[in-house]
Amino acid sequence: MVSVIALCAGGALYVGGATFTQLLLGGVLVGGLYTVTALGLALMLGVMKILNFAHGEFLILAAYMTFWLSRLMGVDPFITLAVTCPTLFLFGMLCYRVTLSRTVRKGFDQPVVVTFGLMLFLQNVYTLLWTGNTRAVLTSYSTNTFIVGGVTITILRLVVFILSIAAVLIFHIFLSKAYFGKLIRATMQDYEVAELQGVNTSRVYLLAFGIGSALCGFAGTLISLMYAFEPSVGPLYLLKSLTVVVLAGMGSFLPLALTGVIIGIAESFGSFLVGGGFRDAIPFVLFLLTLLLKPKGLFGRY
Amino acid sequence: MLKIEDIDVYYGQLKVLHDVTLTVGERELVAVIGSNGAGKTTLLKSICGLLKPQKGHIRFRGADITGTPTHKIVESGISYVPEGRRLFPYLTVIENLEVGACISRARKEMKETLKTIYQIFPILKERRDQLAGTLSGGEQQMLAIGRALMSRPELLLLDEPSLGLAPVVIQKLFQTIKAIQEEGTSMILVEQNARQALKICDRAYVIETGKIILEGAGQDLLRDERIRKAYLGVR
Repeated sequence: MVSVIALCAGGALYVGGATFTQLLLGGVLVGGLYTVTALGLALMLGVMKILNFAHGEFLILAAYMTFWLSRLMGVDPFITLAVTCPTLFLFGMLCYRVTLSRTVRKGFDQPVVVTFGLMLFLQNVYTLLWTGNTRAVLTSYSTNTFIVGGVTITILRLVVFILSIAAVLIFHIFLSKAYFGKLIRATMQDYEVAELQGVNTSRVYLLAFGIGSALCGFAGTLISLMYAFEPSVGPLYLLKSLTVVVLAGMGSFLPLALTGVIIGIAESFGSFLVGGGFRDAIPFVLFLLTLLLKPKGLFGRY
Repeated sequence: MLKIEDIDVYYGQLKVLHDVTLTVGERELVAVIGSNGAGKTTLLKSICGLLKPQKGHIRFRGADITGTPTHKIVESGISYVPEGRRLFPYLTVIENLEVGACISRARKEMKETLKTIYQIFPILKERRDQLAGTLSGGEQQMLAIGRALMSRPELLLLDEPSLGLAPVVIQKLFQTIKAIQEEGTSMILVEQNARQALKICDRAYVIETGKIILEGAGQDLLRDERIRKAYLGVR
Protein backbone atom coordinates (compact mmCIF):
# COMPACT_ATOMS: atom_id res chain seq x y z
CA MET A 1 0.00 0.00 0.00
CA VAL A 2 2.72 2.45 1.02
CA SER A 3 4.76 1.60 -2.04
CA VAL A 4 1.78 2.28 -4.29
CA ILE A 5 1.30 5.72 -2.80
CA ALA A 6 5.00 6.49 -3.07
CA LEU A 7 4.92 5.42 -6.69
CA CYS A 8 1.97 7.67 -7.38
CA ALA A 9 3.60 10.63 -5.69
CA GLY A 10 6.77 10.03 -7.62
CA GLY A 11 4.80 9.78 -10.81
CA ALA A 12 3.00 13.02 -10.10
CA LEU A 13 6.25 14.86 -9.66
CA TYR A 14 7.69 13.34 -12.80
CA VAL A 15 4.92 14.23 -15.19
CA GLY A 16 3.84 17.51 -13.72
CA GLY A 17 0.51 18.67 -12.29
CA ALA A 18 -1.78 19.25 -15.23
CA THR A 19 -0.67 16.19 -17.15
CA PHE A 20 -1.03 14.08 -14.05
CA THR A 21 -4.62 15.16 -13.57
CA GLN A 22 -5.31 14.63 -17.26
CA LEU A 23 -3.97 11.12 -17.18
CA LEU A 24 -5.70 10.34 -13.92
CA LEU A 25 -9.03 11.56 -15.16
CA GLY A 26 -8.68 9.74 -18.45
CA GLY A 27 -7.87 6.58 -16.54
CA VAL A 28 -10.87 6.90 -14.27
CA LEU A 29 -13.24 7.51 -17.17
CA VAL A 30 -12.00 4.47 -19.04
CA GLY A 31 -12.02 2.51 -15.79
CA GLY A 32 -15.76 2.89 -15.51
CA LEU A 33 -16.18 1.24 -18.89
CA TYR A 34 -13.80 -1.56 -17.93
CA THR A 35 -15.86 -2.26 -14.83
CA VAL A 36 -19.16 -2.64 -16.66
CA THR A 37 -17.40 -4.71 -19.31
CA ALA A 38 -16.15 -7.11 -16.66
CA LEU A 39 -19.50 -7.34 -14.86
CA GLY A 40 -21.05 -9.93 -17.17
CA LEU A 41 -17.99 -12.12 -17.01
CA ALA A 42 -17.89 -11.88 -13.22
CA LEU A 43 -21.55 -12.84 -12.94
CA MET A 44 -21.18 -15.97 -15.05
CA LEU A 45 -18.03 -16.91 -13.20
CA GLY A 46 -19.57 -16.33 -9.81
CA VAL A 47 -22.89 -18.06 -10.34
CA MET A 48 -22.00 -20.93 -12.65
CA LYS A 49 -18.24 -21.09 -12.31
CA ILE A 50 -18.13 -20.76 -16.08
CA LEU A 51 -15.41 -18.71 -17.72
CA ASN A 52 -17.05 -17.44 -20.87
CA PHE A 53 -14.28 -17.44 -23.45
CA ALA A 54 -16.73 -15.94 -25.88
CA HIS A 55 -17.16 -12.90 -23.62
CA GLY A 56 -15.33 -10.67 -26.06
CA GLU A 57 -17.41 -11.96 -28.94
CA PHE A 58 -20.61 -11.12 -27.07
CA LEU A 59 -19.30 -7.57 -26.61
CA ILE A 60 -18.38 -7.30 -30.27
CA LEU A 61 -21.77 -8.57 -31.36
CA ALA A 62 -23.34 -5.62 -29.61
CA ALA A 63 -20.70 -3.36 -31.14
CA TYR A 64 -21.58 -4.58 -34.62
CA MET A 65 -25.28 -4.16 -33.94
CA THR A 66 -24.71 -0.58 -32.86
CA PHE A 67 -22.51 0.01 -35.88
CA TRP A 68 -25.04 -1.25 -38.39
CA LEU A 69 -28.03 0.39 -36.72
CA SER A 70 -26.33 3.75 -36.66
CA ARG A 71 -24.79 3.36 -40.13
CA LEU A 72 -27.82 2.02 -41.97
CA MET A 73 -30.68 3.62 -40.07
CA GLY A 74 -29.02 6.67 -38.59
CA VAL A 75 -30.00 5.67 -35.08
CA ASP A 76 -28.02 7.41 -32.40
CA PRO A 77 -25.68 4.86 -30.83
CA PHE A 78 -26.95 5.46 -27.32
CA ILE A 79 -30.46 4.64 -28.47
CA THR A 80 -29.26 1.30 -29.76
CA LEU A 81 -28.79 0.24 -26.15
CA ALA A 82 -32.50 -0.45 -26.12
CA VAL A 83 -31.90 -3.01 -28.84
CA THR A 84 -28.51 -4.48 -27.99
CA CYS A 85 -29.26 -5.27 -24.36
CA PRO A 86 -32.45 -7.31 -24.90
CA THR A 87 -30.96 -8.97 -27.98
CA LEU A 88 -27.84 -10.06 -26.16
CA PHE A 89 -30.00 -11.18 -23.24
CA LEU A 90 -31.93 -13.54 -25.47
CA PHE A 91 -28.88 -14.51 -27.50
CA GLY A 92 -26.97 -15.41 -24.35
CA MET A 93 -29.78 -17.56 -23.03
CA LEU A 94 -30.07 -19.29 -26.38
CA CYS A 95 -26.35 -20.08 -26.43
CA TYR A 96 -26.57 -21.33 -22.88
CA ARG A 97 -29.61 -23.49 -23.46
CA VAL A 98 -28.24 -25.05 -26.60
CA THR A 99 -24.70 -25.69 -25.44
CA LEU A 100 -23.71 -24.95 -21.88
CA SER A 101 -26.62 -26.06 -19.76
CA ARG A 102 -25.53 -29.66 -19.96
CA THR A 103 -21.98 -28.90 -18.91
CA VAL A 104 -22.71 -26.92 -15.79
CA ARG A 105 -21.44 -28.45 -12.55
CA LYS A 106 -19.65 -31.18 -14.44
CA GLY A 107 -16.18 -29.84 -13.82
CA PHE A 108 -14.17 -27.03 -15.31
CA ASP A 109 -13.09 -28.64 -18.60
CA GLN A 110 -16.38 -29.04 -20.40
CA PRO A 111 -17.58 -25.44 -20.13
CA VAL A 112 -14.12 -24.24 -21.19
CA VAL A 113 -14.23 -26.31 -24.35
CA VAL A 114 -17.74 -25.15 -25.14
CA THR A 115 -17.15 -21.43 -24.63
CA PHE A 116 -13.84 -21.58 -26.42
CA GLY A 117 -15.53 -23.23 -29.35
CA LEU A 118 -18.25 -20.62 -29.21
CA MET A 119 -15.59 -17.92 -29.33
CA LEU A 120 -13.99 -19.34 -32.49
CA PHE A 121 -17.37 -19.95 -34.06
CA LEU A 122 -18.59 -16.41 -33.48
CA GLN A 123 -15.35 -14.80 -34.64
CA ASN A 124 -15.64 -16.61 -37.93
CA VAL A 125 -19.32 -15.83 -38.30
CA TYR A 126 -18.56 -12.14 -37.86
CA THR A 127 -15.78 -12.31 -40.44
CA LEU A 128 -18.03 -14.09 -42.91
CA LEU A 129 -20.92 -11.71 -42.43
CA TRP A 130 -19.18 -8.42 -42.02
CA THR A 131 -15.61 -8.89 -43.29
CA GLY A 132 -12.47 -8.29 -41.32
CA ASN A 133 -12.53 -4.55 -41.92
CA THR A 134 -12.04 -2.37 -38.92
CA ARG A 135 -15.16 -0.55 -37.86
CA ALA A 136 -15.81 2.36 -35.55
CA VAL A 137 -18.92 4.19 -34.56
CA LEU A 138 -18.55 7.91 -35.08
CA THR A 139 -21.06 10.56 -34.31
CA SER A 140 -21.25 14.26 -34.84
CA TYR A 141 -20.33 14.80 -31.23
CA SER A 142 -17.58 12.19 -30.97
CA THR A 143 -14.81 14.71 -30.65
CA ASN A 144 -16.48 17.44 -28.63
CA THR A 145 -14.55 18.41 -25.59
CA PHE A 146 -14.63 21.02 -22.89
CA ILE A 147 -11.89 22.31 -20.69
CA VAL A 148 -12.00 22.49 -16.93
CA GLY A 149 -9.08 23.75 -14.89
CA GLY A 150 -6.51 23.07 -17.57
CA VAL A 151 -7.79 19.57 -18.19
CA THR A 152 -9.49 18.56 -21.43
CA ILE A 153 -12.48 16.27 -21.06
CA THR A 154 -14.04 14.47 -23.99
CA ILE A 155 -17.81 14.67 -23.55
CA LEU A 156 -18.31 11.25 -25.07
CA ARG A 157 -15.98 9.66 -22.56
CA LEU A 158 -17.77 11.40 -19.73
CA VAL A 159 -21.18 10.20 -20.89
CA VAL A 160 -19.88 6.65 -21.33
CA PHE A 161 -18.45 6.83 -17.82
CA ILE A 162 -21.70 8.05 -16.31
CA LEU A 163 -23.70 5.36 -18.07
CA SER A 164 -21.22 2.71 -16.95
CA ILE A 165 -21.43 3.78 -13.32
CA ALA A 166 -25.22 3.88 -13.56
CA ALA A 167 -25.27 0.33 -14.89
CA VAL A 168 -22.95 -0.88 -12.14
CA LEU A 169 -25.12 0.78 -9.49
CA ILE A 170 -28.35 -0.60 -10.90
CA PHE A 171 -26.80 -4.06 -11.05
CA HIS A 172 -25.64 -3.77 -7.44
CA ILE A 173 -29.06 -2.65 -6.26
CA PHE A 174 -30.67 -5.48 -8.20
CA LEU A 175 -28.42 -8.05 -6.57
CA SER A 176 -28.88 -6.75 -3.05
CA LYS A 177 -32.52 -5.67 -2.98
CA ALA A 178 -34.42 -7.58 -5.64
CA TYR A 179 -35.74 -11.00 -4.67
CA PHE A 180 -34.23 -12.66 -7.72
CA GLY A 181 -30.95 -10.95 -6.91
CA LYS A 182 -31.00 -12.64 -3.52
CA LEU A 183 -31.72 -15.98 -5.18
CA ILE A 184 -28.69 -15.44 -7.41
CA ARG A 185 -26.48 -14.64 -4.44
CA ALA A 186 -27.79 -17.66 -2.55
CA THR A 187 -27.12 -19.93 -5.53
CA MET A 188 -23.60 -18.51 -5.76
CA GLN A 189 -22.88 -19.39 -2.15
CA ASP A 190 -24.36 -22.88 -2.02
CA TYR A 191 -26.33 -24.17 -4.99
CA GLU A 192 -27.36 -27.43 -3.32
CA VAL A 193 -28.87 -25.70 -0.33
CA ALA A 194 -30.47 -23.12 -2.61
CA GLU A 195 -32.18 -25.99 -4.40
CA LEU A 196 -33.36 -27.20 -1.00
CA GLN A 197 -35.13 -23.90 -0.46
CA GLY A 198 -37.08 -24.51 -3.62
CA VAL A 199 -34.88 -22.43 -5.89
CA ASN A 200 -34.92 -23.75 -9.42
CA THR A 201 -31.17 -23.47 -9.86
CA SER A 202 -31.30 -24.46 -13.53
CA ARG A 203 -33.50 -21.48 -14.21
CA VAL A 204 -31.27 -19.23 -12.10
CA TYR A 205 -28.29 -20.29 -14.18
CA LEU A 206 -30.12 -19.63 -17.42
CA LEU A 207 -31.26 -16.18 -16.35
CA ALA A 208 -27.90 -15.30 -14.85
CA PHE A 209 -26.26 -16.13 -18.16
CA GLY A 210 -28.86 -13.98 -19.86
CA ILE A 211 -28.25 -11.05 -17.54
CA GLY A 212 -24.50 -11.40 -17.96
CA SER A 213 -24.98 -11.35 -21.71
CA ALA A 214 -27.22 -8.30 -21.49
CA LEU A 215 -24.44 -6.55 -19.58
CA CYS A 216 -22.13 -7.48 -22.46
CA GLY A 217 -24.66 -5.89 -24.77
CA PHE A 218 -24.54 -2.69 -22.75
CA ALA A 219 -20.77 -2.61 -22.57
CA GLY A 220 -20.34 -3.60 -26.21
CA THR A 221 -22.37 -0.65 -27.45
CA LEU A 222 -20.30 1.72 -25.36
CA ILE A 223 -17.08 0.12 -26.56
CA SER A 224 -18.10 0.67 -30.18
CA LEU A 225 -18.28 4.38 -29.46
CA MET A 226 -14.87 4.56 -27.89
CA TYR A 227 -12.70 2.21 -29.89
CA ALA A 228 -12.37 0.74 -33.33
CA PHE A 229 -13.08 -2.96 -33.59
CA GLU A 230 -13.01 -5.96 -35.89
CA PRO A 231 -13.88 -9.65 -35.52
CA SER A 232 -10.65 -10.69 -33.85
CA VAL A 233 -10.64 -8.05 -31.14
CA GLY A 234 -12.74 -10.09 -28.69
CA PRO A 235 -9.98 -11.90 -26.79
CA LEU A 236 -8.35 -8.58 -25.93
CA TYR A 237 -11.46 -7.49 -24.07
CA LEU A 238 -11.80 -10.91 -22.53
CA LEU A 239 -8.36 -10.59 -21.02
CA LYS A 240 -8.89 -7.05 -19.83
CA SER A 241 -12.15 -8.09 -18.19
CA LEU A 242 -10.50 -11.11 -16.67
CA THR A 243 -7.79 -8.90 -15.20
CA VAL A 244 -10.44 -6.70 -13.60
CA VAL A 245 -12.13 -9.78 -12.15
CA VAL A 246 -8.96 -11.49 -10.94
CA LEU A 247 -7.62 -8.31 -9.35
CA ALA A 248 -10.89 -7.85 -7.47
CA GLY A 249 -11.20 -11.46 -6.37
CA MET A 250 -14.23 -13.70 -6.32
CA GLY A 251 -17.02 -12.93 -3.94
CA SER A 252 -18.78 -9.64 -4.33
CA PHE A 253 -19.14 -7.34 -7.31
CA LEU A 254 -18.51 -3.91 -5.85
CA PRO A 255 -14.69 -4.27 -5.81
CA LEU A 256 -14.89 -4.52 -9.59
CA ALA A 257 -15.59 -0.80 -9.66
CA LEU A 258 -12.32 -0.16 -7.91
CA THR A 259 -10.23 -2.55 -9.94
CA GLY A 260 -11.72 -1.35 -13.22
CA VAL A 261 -10.55 2.13 -12.36
CA ILE A 262 -7.16 0.84 -11.26
CA ILE A 263 -6.66 -0.86 -14.60
CA GLY A 264 -7.81 2.27 -16.41
CA ILE A 265 -5.40 4.45 -14.51
CA ALA A 266 -2.57 1.97 -14.97
CA GLU A 267 -3.18 1.96 -18.70
CA SER A 268 -3.37 5.72 -18.81
CA PHE A 269 -0.11 6.33 -17.01
CA GLY A 270 1.57 3.28 -18.40
CA SER A 271 1.01 4.20 -22.01
CA PHE A 272 2.20 7.72 -21.28
CA LEU A 273 5.39 6.43 -19.75
CA VAL A 274 6.29 3.55 -22.07
CA GLY A 275 4.53 4.54 -25.25
CA GLY A 276 1.00 4.12 -26.60
CA GLY A 277 1.78 0.87 -28.38
CA PHE A 278 2.14 -0.89 -25.08
CA ARG A 279 -1.18 0.28 -23.73
CA ASP A 280 -2.97 -3.03 -24.19
CA ALA A 281 -0.10 -4.94 -22.64
CA ILE A 282 -0.46 -3.22 -19.30
CA PRO A 283 -3.54 -5.15 -18.13
CA PHE A 284 -1.71 -8.36 -18.99
CA VAL A 285 1.17 -7.35 -16.76
CA LEU A 286 -1.23 -6.56 -13.94
CA PHE A 287 -2.94 -9.90 -14.52
CA LEU A 288 0.34 -11.77 -14.10
CA LEU A 289 1.33 -9.70 -11.07
CA THR A 290 -1.99 -10.44 -9.40
CA LEU A 291 -1.65 -14.16 -9.93
CA LEU A 292 1.88 -14.08 -8.59
CA LEU A 293 1.39 -11.83 -5.60
CA LYS A 294 -2.28 -11.95 -4.62
CA PRO A 295 -4.02 -14.84 -6.38
CA LYS A 296 -7.20 -14.38 -4.38
CA GLY A 297 -7.43 -10.81 -5.55
CA LEU A 298 -7.62 -7.72 -3.40
CA PHE A 299 -11.04 -8.49 -2.01
CA GLY A 300 -11.39 -12.20 -2.69
CA ARG A 301 -13.58 -14.39 -0.54
CA TYR A 302 -12.97 -17.74 -2.20
CA MET B 1 -48.08 -39.18 4.51
CA LEU B 2 -44.63 -40.31 3.53
CA LYS B 3 -43.91 -43.86 2.42
CA ILE B 4 -40.43 -45.05 1.62
CA GLU B 5 -40.68 -48.47 0.00
CA ASP B 6 -37.69 -50.75 -0.16
CA ILE B 7 -35.13 -48.33 -1.48
CA ASP B 8 -31.50 -49.00 -2.38
CA VAL B 9 -29.25 -45.98 -2.59
CA TYR B 10 -25.71 -45.95 -3.91
CA TYR B 11 -22.79 -43.55 -3.70
CA GLY B 12 -21.18 -44.45 -6.99
CA GLN B 13 -20.62 -48.18 -6.78
CA LEU B 14 -21.06 -48.36 -3.03
CA LYS B 15 -24.45 -49.48 -1.75
CA VAL B 16 -25.29 -47.29 1.21
CA LEU B 17 -28.95 -48.07 1.89
CA HIS B 18 -30.39 -51.57 1.63
CA ASP B 19 -34.12 -52.22 1.26
CA VAL B 20 -35.06 -49.33 3.50
CA THR B 21 -38.74 -49.00 4.28
CA LEU B 22 -40.10 -46.20 6.43
CA THR B 23 -43.36 -44.36 6.95
CA VAL B 24 -44.37 -41.08 8.51
CA GLY B 25 -47.96 -40.29 9.39
CA GLU B 26 -49.81 -37.02 9.82
CA ARG B 27 -48.43 -34.82 12.60
CA GLU B 28 -45.98 -37.56 13.57
CA LEU B 29 -42.49 -37.02 14.86
CA VAL B 30 -40.41 -39.96 13.66
CA ALA B 31 -36.84 -40.34 14.88
CA VAL B 32 -34.09 -42.12 13.00
CA ILE B 33 -31.15 -43.02 15.19
CA GLY B 34 -27.91 -44.74 14.41
CA SER B 35 -24.20 -44.21 14.64
CA ASN B 36 -21.96 -42.28 12.25
CA GLY B 37 -22.01 -43.53 8.72
CA ALA B 38 -25.10 -45.63 9.22
CA GLY B 39 -26.87 -43.90 6.36
CA LYS B 40 -29.12 -41.42 8.16
CA THR B 41 -28.14 -38.41 6.09
CA THR B 42 -28.28 -40.50 2.93
CA LEU B 43 -31.84 -41.38 3.79
CA LEU B 44 -32.88 -37.76 4.17
CA LYS B 45 -31.02 -36.73 1.02
CA SER B 46 -32.89 -39.41 -0.90
CA ILE B 47 -36.24 -38.14 0.31
CA CYS B 48 -35.58 -34.61 -0.92
CA GLY B 49 -34.12 -35.63 -4.24
CA LEU B 50 -30.43 -34.88 -3.75
CA LEU B 51 -29.83 -38.59 -4.23
CA LYS B 52 -31.80 -40.96 -6.39
CA PRO B 53 -32.61 -44.51 -5.28
CA GLN B 54 -31.63 -47.26 -7.68
CA LYS B 55 -34.50 -49.39 -6.52
CA GLY B 56 -37.77 -48.79 -4.76
CA HIS B 57 -40.08 -45.79 -4.47
CA ILE B 58 -40.72 -42.81 -2.29
CA ARG B 59 -44.29 -41.61 -2.11
CA PHE B 60 -45.47 -38.38 -0.58
CA ARG B 61 -49.22 -38.00 -0.14
CA GLY B 62 -49.67 -40.78 -2.64
CA ALA B 63 -47.59 -39.19 -5.38
CA ASP B 64 -44.36 -40.86 -6.45
CA ILE B 65 -41.54 -38.40 -5.84
CA THR B 66 -38.66 -40.76 -6.61
CA GLY B 67 -36.29 -38.96 -8.95
CA THR B 68 -38.21 -35.69 -8.93
CA PRO B 69 -36.00 -32.58 -9.00
CA THR B 70 -35.28 -31.23 -5.54
CA HIS B 71 -36.96 -27.85 -5.95
CA LYS B 72 -40.16 -29.57 -7.06
CA ILE B 73 -40.10 -31.79 -3.98
CA VAL B 74 -39.77 -28.69 -1.84
CA GLU B 75 -42.74 -27.21 -3.70
CA SER B 76 -44.83 -30.20 -2.75
CA GLY B 77 -44.26 -29.62 0.95
CA ILE B 78 -41.04 -31.23 2.17
CA SER B 79 -38.26 -29.16 3.73
CA TYR B 80 -34.78 -30.27 4.76
CA VAL B 81 -32.50 -28.77 7.39
CA PRO B 82 -29.07 -30.09 6.38
CA GLU B 83 -26.43 -31.46 8.68
CA GLY B 84 -24.14 -28.65 9.80
CA ARG B 85 -26.73 -25.98 9.16
CA ARG B 86 -25.39 -24.84 5.78
CA LEU B 87 -26.69 -21.33 5.86
CA PHE B 88 -25.89 -18.80 3.17
CA PRO B 89 -22.96 -17.22 4.99
CA TYR B 90 -22.87 -13.89 3.17
CA LEU B 91 -26.58 -13.29 3.31
CA THR B 92 -28.12 -11.68 6.36
CA VAL B 93 -30.46 -13.53 8.71
CA ILE B 94 -33.52 -12.03 7.10
CA GLU B 95 -32.20 -12.69 3.61
CA ASN B 96 -31.67 -16.34 4.49
CA LEU B 97 -35.27 -16.49 5.66
CA GLU B 98 -36.53 -14.72 2.57
CA VAL B 99 -34.76 -17.18 0.28
CA GLY B 100 -36.30 -19.96 2.34
CA ALA B 101 -39.72 -18.80 1.20
CA CYS B 102 -38.79 -19.16 -2.46
CA ILE B 103 -41.61 -21.46 -3.49
CA SER B 104 -44.59 -19.61 -4.89
CA ARG B 105 -47.13 -20.53 -2.29
CA ALA B 106 -44.82 -19.43 0.49
CA ARG B 107 -43.76 -16.18 -1.13
CA LYS B 108 -47.26 -14.75 -0.92
CA GLU B 109 -47.39 -15.44 2.80
CA MET B 110 -43.82 -14.37 3.54
CA LYS B 111 -44.69 -11.51 5.89
CA GLU B 112 -47.02 -13.70 7.95
CA THR B 113 -44.56 -16.56 8.09
CA LEU B 114 -41.75 -14.23 9.15
CA LYS B 115 -43.86 -13.05 12.08
CA THR B 116 -44.39 -16.64 13.17
CA ILE B 117 -40.73 -17.52 12.86
CA TYR B 118 -39.77 -14.46 14.90
CA GLN B 119 -42.18 -15.62 17.59
CA ILE B 120 -40.59 -19.05 17.75
CA PHE B 121 -37.05 -17.66 17.54
CA PRO B 122 -36.99 -14.09 18.90
CA ILE B 123 -33.22 -13.91 18.61
CA LEU B 124 -33.55 -14.05 14.84
CA LYS B 125 -35.55 -10.86 14.82
CA GLU B 126 -32.92 -9.21 16.96
CA ARG B 127 -30.12 -10.24 14.61
CA ARG B 128 -31.98 -9.96 11.38
CA ASP B 129 -29.48 -7.71 9.59
CA GLN B 130 -26.48 -9.68 10.71
CA LEU B 131 -24.55 -11.89 8.30
CA ALA B 132 -25.48 -15.51 8.89
CA GLY B 133 -21.86 -16.58 9.03
CA THR B 134 -21.30 -14.48 12.16
CA LEU B 135 -23.95 -16.16 14.32
CA SER B 136 -23.20 -18.60 17.13
CA GLY B 137 -23.84 -22.32 16.69
CA GLY B 138 -27.16 -22.30 18.45
CA GLU B 139 -28.36 -19.21 16.59
CA GLN B 140 -27.32 -20.74 13.28
CA GLN B 141 -29.33 -23.86 14.06
CA MET B 142 -32.36 -21.75 14.83
CA LEU B 143 -31.91 -19.84 11.59
CA ALA B 144 -31.53 -23.08 9.65
CA ILE B 145 -34.77 -24.44 11.08
CA GLY B 146 -36.50 -21.09 10.65
CA ARG B 147 -35.41 -20.95 7.03
CA ALA B 148 -36.76 -24.44 6.38
CA LEU B 149 -40.07 -23.46 7.97
CA MET B 150 -40.40 -20.43 5.69
CA SER B 151 -41.61 -22.72 2.91
CA ARG B 152 -44.46 -23.79 5.21
CA PRO B 153 -43.68 -27.49 4.85
CA GLU B 154 -45.94 -30.34 5.84
CA LEU B 155 -42.95 -32.56 6.43
CA LEU B 156 -39.76 -31.25 7.98
CA LEU B 157 -36.53 -33.24 7.82
CA LEU B 158 -33.98 -32.44 10.53
CA ASP B 159 -30.44 -33.74 10.14
CA GLU B 160 -28.55 -33.88 13.44
CA PRO B 161 -29.73 -30.50 14.72
CA SER B 162 -28.00 -30.93 18.09
CA LEU B 163 -24.55 -31.44 16.60
CA GLY B 164 -21.98 -29.11 18.09
CA LEU B 165 -24.40 -27.38 20.41
CA ALA B 166 -24.05 -26.75 24.14
CA PRO B 167 -26.28 -28.93 26.39
CA VAL B 168 -28.34 -25.97 27.53
CA VAL B 169 -29.00 -24.99 23.94
CA ILE B 170 -29.89 -28.56 23.05
CA GLN B 171 -32.62 -28.61 25.67
CA LYS B 172 -34.20 -25.50 24.22
CA LEU B 173 -33.80 -26.90 20.73
CA PHE B 174 -35.71 -30.09 21.43
CA GLN B 175 -38.44 -28.17 23.20
CA THR B 176 -38.79 -26.04 20.08
CA ILE B 177 -38.87 -29.10 17.84
CA LYS B 178 -41.68 -30.60 19.88
CA ALA B 179 -43.56 -27.29 19.71
CA ILE B 180 -43.25 -27.24 15.92
CA GLN B 181 -44.75 -30.71 15.78
CA GLU B 182 -47.63 -29.58 17.92
CA GLU B 183 -48.34 -26.81 15.43
CA GLY B 184 -49.07 -29.52 12.89
CA THR B 185 -45.83 -30.23 11.02
CA SER B 186 -44.72 -33.84 10.64
CA MET B 187 -41.04 -34.44 11.13
CA ILE B 188 -38.26 -36.90 10.61
CA LEU B 189 -35.58 -36.28 13.19
CA VAL B 190 -32.20 -37.82 12.47
CA GLU B 191 -30.01 -37.78 15.53
CA GLN B 192 -26.91 -39.23 17.09
CA ASN B 193 -28.23 -37.95 20.42
CA ALA B 194 -30.46 -40.98 20.76
CA ARG B 195 -31.81 -40.30 24.23
CA GLN B 196 -33.26 -36.89 23.42
CA ALA B 197 -34.59 -38.04 20.09
CA LEU B 198 -36.36 -41.07 21.55
CA LYS B 199 -37.81 -38.99 24.35
CA ILE B 200 -39.66 -36.57 22.12
CA CYS B 201 -40.59 -38.78 19.19
CA ASP B 202 -43.75 -40.76 18.54
CA ARG B 203 -42.04 -43.56 16.65
CA ALA B 204 -38.46 -44.33 15.85
CA TYR B 205 -36.33 -46.37 13.47
CA VAL B 206 -32.87 -47.65 14.24
CA ILE B 207 -30.53 -47.84 11.28
CA GLU B 208 -27.23 -49.67 11.13
CA THR B 209 -24.94 -49.91 8.09
CA GLY B 210 -27.69 -48.96 5.73
CA LYS B 211 -30.38 -51.26 7.05
CA ILE B 212 -33.33 -50.62 9.34
CA ILE B 213 -32.88 -53.04 12.18
CA LEU B 214 -35.55 -51.91 14.60
CA GLU B 215 -38.75 -49.95 14.62
CA GLY B 216 -41.08 -49.00 17.41
CA ALA B 217 -42.60 -46.39 19.67
CA GLY B 218 -40.12 -43.98 21.19
CA GLN B 219 -40.89 -44.95 24.74
CA ASP B 220 -40.55 -48.66 23.98
CA LEU B 221 -37.16 -48.24 22.36
CA LEU B 222 -35.95 -46.19 25.30
CA ARG B 223 -36.52 -49.23 27.48
CA ASP B 224 -35.16 -51.76 24.97
CA GLU B 225 -32.02 -53.43 26.32
CA ARG B 226 -30.18 -53.57 23.01
CA ILE B 227 -30.80 -49.89 22.37
CA ARG B 228 -29.78 -48.94 25.85
CA LYS B 229 -26.50 -50.79 25.46
CA ALA B 230 -25.71 -49.62 21.93
CA TYR B 231 -26.93 -46.04 21.87
CA LEU B 232 -27.79 -44.85 25.32
CA GLY B 233 -24.50 -45.54 27.00
CA VAL B 234 -25.88 -47.98 29.56
CA ARG B 235 -23.56 -50.83 30.43
